[in-house]
Amino acid sequence: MWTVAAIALLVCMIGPFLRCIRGDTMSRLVALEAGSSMAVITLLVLCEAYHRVPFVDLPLTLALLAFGAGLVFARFLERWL
Amino acid sequence: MSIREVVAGVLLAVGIWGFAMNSIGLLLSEDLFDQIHYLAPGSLLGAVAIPAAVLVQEGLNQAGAKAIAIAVLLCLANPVLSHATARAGRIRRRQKLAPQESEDIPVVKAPR
Repeated sequence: MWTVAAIALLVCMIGPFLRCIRGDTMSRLVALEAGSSMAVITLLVLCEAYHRVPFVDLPLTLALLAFGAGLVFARFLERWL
Repeated sequence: MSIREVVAGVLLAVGIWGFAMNSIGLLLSEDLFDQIHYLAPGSLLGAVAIPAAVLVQEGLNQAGAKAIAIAVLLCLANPVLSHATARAGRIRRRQKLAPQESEDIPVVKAPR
């Protein structure tokens, strides 16, 4: 069940991926934010699927870093890029 | 299949549905602000339901506590990032954040 859920989440990442390829600059930032939250949840589901409890630190760290990255990108795209 | 697994499966399905709405909405909408709206189902519904499924499956141990932390973090981060992205998009499009006269937005002045 958990492996199927991880595959479904990976399929859901096609949307942000295509938007990153085809969209303009701000659409790519939105796609980055969507893709990073999907990646966090996919890693969490994979940890549960393979019973690797210590690896749950990875999605937790990625969630923190993705938040900072999104804020920095938004700030820079606002004025300078 | 135990009740715990059934509940976890339902929560997983709800979360994946939220992320699917997110993905389809991103693909179908062309305007930046529409795309920002479509971030919400995935980042709120999906980010709560799937860690809740992990919590139901695992119980309140190390993985369950970290799943709660991930859900709280994503729920707090999404509105902040949406606001920052919308603000950046508006400033890039209009060169300034404040409403302009040509936009026909009523401007309410703060009382002195």
